[in-house]
Amino acid sequence: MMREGMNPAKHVYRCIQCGVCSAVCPVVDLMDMEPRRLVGLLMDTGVALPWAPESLRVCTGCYLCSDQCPQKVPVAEIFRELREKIRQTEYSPSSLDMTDLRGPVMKQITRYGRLYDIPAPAKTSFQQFSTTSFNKNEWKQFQRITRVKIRKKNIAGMKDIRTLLKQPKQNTDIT
Amino acid sequence: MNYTFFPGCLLDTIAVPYRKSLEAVFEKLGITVSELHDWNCCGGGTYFDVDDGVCAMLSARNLARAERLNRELIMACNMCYDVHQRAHRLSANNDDVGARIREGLQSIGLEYTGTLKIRHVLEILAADPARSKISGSITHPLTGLKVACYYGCRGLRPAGTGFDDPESPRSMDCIVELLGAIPLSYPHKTTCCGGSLIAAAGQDALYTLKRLLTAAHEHGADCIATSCPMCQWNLDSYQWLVNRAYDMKFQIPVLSITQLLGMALGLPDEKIMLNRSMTAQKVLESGWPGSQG
Repeated sequence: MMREGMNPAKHVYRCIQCGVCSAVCPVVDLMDMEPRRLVGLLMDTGVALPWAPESLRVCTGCYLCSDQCPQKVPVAEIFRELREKIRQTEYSPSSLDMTDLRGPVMKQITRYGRLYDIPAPAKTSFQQFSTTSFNKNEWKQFQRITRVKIRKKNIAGMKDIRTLLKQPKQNTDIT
Repeated sequence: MNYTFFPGCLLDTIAVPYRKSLEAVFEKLGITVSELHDWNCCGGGTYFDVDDGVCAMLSARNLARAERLNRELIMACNMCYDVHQRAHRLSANNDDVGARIREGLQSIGLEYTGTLKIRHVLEILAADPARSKISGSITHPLTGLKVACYYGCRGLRPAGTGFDDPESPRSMDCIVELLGAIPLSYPHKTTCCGGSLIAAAGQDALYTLKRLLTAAHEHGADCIATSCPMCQWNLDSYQWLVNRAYDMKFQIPVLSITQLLGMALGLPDEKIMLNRSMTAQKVLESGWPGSQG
């Protein structure tokens, strides 16, 4: 197995473009550029990313592509690293920011050290259903189970968390 | 047997029934699980895609503090399990990443030597001593209940890092068999449920769930058993949205494996909390072929 954390993108040159990664991907239908083509693009550009495909946001990180690749290209790791990169550069597309829930969630870690407001995503996806009619009982039950009473409290080790979050970032190969 | 328990953020928020039933089941089996004091978020759903190193350092804080207790660390969430296992491996790397984690820990006065064993709840329950304790304490066998065992993705992949076979896992099926129920040969055992993509992409992403539910329905499942709070949440609370979006009529109860165990061990409903779910209480209300008498 490839050693993790060692610039996985340099392994793209092993790719034979067989397309197994795209075939097994559970969310490929939502992607604007399927994994096979994205890896191909990286080979052609010398592991540079001219723009950020939506596919990077769509990937759920389930590792099926990496596991099934006959050439052991760590596709999911590459996707992860690219996501990391586009989140740190100015060219991330606007749709990524709009639907990305990580910003508000990350704030909770900085504030409390844990996540407390998890039902928020449920509310987000609900907005898209607001025009459909709902069964009253289902709606009631849904509200009941999403309402979680928790006392938000900092963990005692918040000082640790803040120190860890300040650690300097290392560089990767992707440009 | 004593374990340190890392619940993770989801078990305290959207998956309270999983946590409560897990604690009740372990108590009934006489296995002590004590929560890791002052644990922090592993960074899985957040920093993992933003800064891998930060994610690993956050997890390593938990690992370093658990290591001091000289007990195995158990996790109930696939994401937490994967992220902690990853931090465990990365911290041993002899490169920049490993060095960054070690330095990070040093800056908060901790050290992780890598002796800790990180294990998934499912792994514990499917092996002795828990296994024999379960078979000895079943009071309400779930005879005839057809269960689609759904393991999810991150606990089993990448291959070689998970707690069971990434293609045909057995641990949950073993537990289900112990309870007298029938584990189905469900083809989507390790297919991704969509995770937090459903929250981000909404209706478009619901087809990942439709696929899982359709297969369970076609295989005649009386219920789906899960071992991850995220999978549980998606399959349970969004099932009616799938019905709306695709004009389906799924009513498949989705239970965490510890809730199923709780039923078989005769635990009262306030401990396994089937009522705090969109679908699970249907198992009790309408029963299943073989549940009578």
